[in-house]
Amino acid sequence: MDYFKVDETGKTSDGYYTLPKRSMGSMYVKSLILLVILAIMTVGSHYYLAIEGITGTWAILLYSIYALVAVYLLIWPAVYFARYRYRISKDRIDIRRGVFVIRHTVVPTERVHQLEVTLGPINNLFRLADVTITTAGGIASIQYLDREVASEIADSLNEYITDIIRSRE
Amino acid sequence: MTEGENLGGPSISPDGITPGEEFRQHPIKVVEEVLTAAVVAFFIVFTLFLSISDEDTGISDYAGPISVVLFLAIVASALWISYWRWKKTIIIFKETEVRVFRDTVFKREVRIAYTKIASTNVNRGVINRITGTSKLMININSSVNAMMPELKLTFDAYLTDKIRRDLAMKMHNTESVAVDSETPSILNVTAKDIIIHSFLSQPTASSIFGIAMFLIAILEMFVSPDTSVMGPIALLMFLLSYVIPVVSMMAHYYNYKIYKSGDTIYISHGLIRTYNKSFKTTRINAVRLRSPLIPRLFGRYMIDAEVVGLVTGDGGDSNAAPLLCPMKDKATIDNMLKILVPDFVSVDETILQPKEAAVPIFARIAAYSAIVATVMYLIQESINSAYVESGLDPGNLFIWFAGTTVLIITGLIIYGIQSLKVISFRKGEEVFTFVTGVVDRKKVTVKYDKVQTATVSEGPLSKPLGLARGDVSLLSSIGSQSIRSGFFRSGDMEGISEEVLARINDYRYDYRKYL
Repeated sequence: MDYFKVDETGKTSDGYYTLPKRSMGSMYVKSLILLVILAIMTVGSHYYLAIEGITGTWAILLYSIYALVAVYLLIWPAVYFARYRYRISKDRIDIRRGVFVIRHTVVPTERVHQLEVTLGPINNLFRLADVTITTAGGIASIQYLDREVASEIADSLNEYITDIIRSRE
Repeated sequence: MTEGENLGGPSISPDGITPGEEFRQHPIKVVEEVLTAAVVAFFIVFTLFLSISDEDTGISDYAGPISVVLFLAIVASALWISYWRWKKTIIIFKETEVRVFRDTVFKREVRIAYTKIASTNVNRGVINRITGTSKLMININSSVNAMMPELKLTFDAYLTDKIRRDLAMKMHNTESVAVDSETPSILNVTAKDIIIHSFLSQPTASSIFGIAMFLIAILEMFVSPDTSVMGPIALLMFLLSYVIPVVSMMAHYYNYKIYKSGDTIYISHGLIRTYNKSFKTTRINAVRLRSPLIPRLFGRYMIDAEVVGLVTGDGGDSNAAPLLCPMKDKATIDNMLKILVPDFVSVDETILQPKEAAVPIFARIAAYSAIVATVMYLIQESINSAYVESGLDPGNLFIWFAGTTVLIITGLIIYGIQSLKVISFRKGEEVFTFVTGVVDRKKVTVKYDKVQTATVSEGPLSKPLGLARGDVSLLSSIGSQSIRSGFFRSGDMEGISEEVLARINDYRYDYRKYL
């Protein structure tokens, strides 16, 4: 079964949603910022090694590592977008994501302690938001969502949790 | 308000605490806080003294008096603030909750329902022992503040025990075992056992590193006793990496006793600082059977448990996971598991990693080997160039590096082969078990009901083979912890989260069981 194939409604056959296309824009901006920072660090390291008289193989290794990281940073947004799926139901939050390794995370709604909608400066440019789900044993997040969708998810999950708490009182 | 006759402590009825009665902490709390402030003030003032005693400052003649006045001013302020806080802090044990109210400039009221308390622990430091007091630590079941107790209250030792007993009645509806109880421990642990435990429970890497440093130090003492710098450094490394952890563990677990009353486990130990811990077995999130390589060769194992809220936040208790059994033989370990945590004993079939798991395991080993070989080659080349430039003969440098590289890669290959024989998974009805660690083995048994999130990871090599790794996160002694499996069938790993959800949906998971 292809977990990532979507139909005309934008959902997979088992009801998973995709991210909005502009999420890729946010990912590319983050990648480019990181590429520039790494380029400065690589050139700086090369300059420092040259002063110390270390050139040749070490310099080749340094630039090879940078080239590998650069290729990864340039391809990951498209792959990450293509392989990001999430699904919210009454009993669980399901997230599938990853570039090389695909991770399938399941958070039972019953375990959710806290919900948070966060808007970073880059995500804000693209009208995106992340939903951070805190459980007693750690944090899970659904990233690069439409702002409105993020609010809806937070609201609906909050409702589920409130129902659970009320039923226990 | 109830205030005691001696040392200002409160008095209580012999039967227990009267609900609503107001308590104040023992005044030694003020002394402890002032002493801590004095130590900090000493270092600040001493640094200041050194800087102003320089003649260039123009006030060097007054460096001494200024420092003394400043030190006294800080200590006096600390004394006043501590006394005021102590005087204005009231503790009330109500019918259903404990309240701590502080009426200072920064007003504070803490309310903790007895049902939310995960554990109550008693801790006695040197000052407490001298003054006959104890610290009562109250922890709730939260990962947010897992490294510090929610309440840390100092009372007379007898009063602390009474409060703790009273709290145990309210929390667990069972009689608490008193500190210094004459009740015999359910496991006979001698000082010799604790010494063996302290030596054997160290991670294998630390033991090997420590012994290697010790041997280097001895060798250097004989080869070049006067000129060697390496000898003292190796000796220092040996002390830091091996001797100090072993000795501190001996002091920590000295006089180890363990009791079980109803479903509550009580543990007491400690030489200089004594620890008294208690927790309900329903608060245990996971049970870990551990055995580093060296004790395993002698057939020795130990058990500890993941319980939230046992860290005292008072120094010295970094071993937050309570030790249920120090290094003992397998029969004793199995018996202790049955007595203490029968819910975590599983007899279900153990599944080893499938043969196909060799593909991702050895692919990873190949990648690590390539990295090791590249780095070793580059280091060897750099050293070789330096020798040649200095006109020195590099000698057998290449052979040394090549030999080390072959040794590391051989170790990695053995690790891969062994992991196929050792890493396993067991799926039970109430619990599941991950066995990890080829060298330092860990068998972690987790209750489905305690899993907070579950993740299944499929890599580019494991996915086509239908294999995946499982990751579960749960509450632990230090907040939260993630436990990772080896490579197993994706369905088995996905089955963990499915079972967690099924138990919630069909009401097999009952939150009231874990309150």
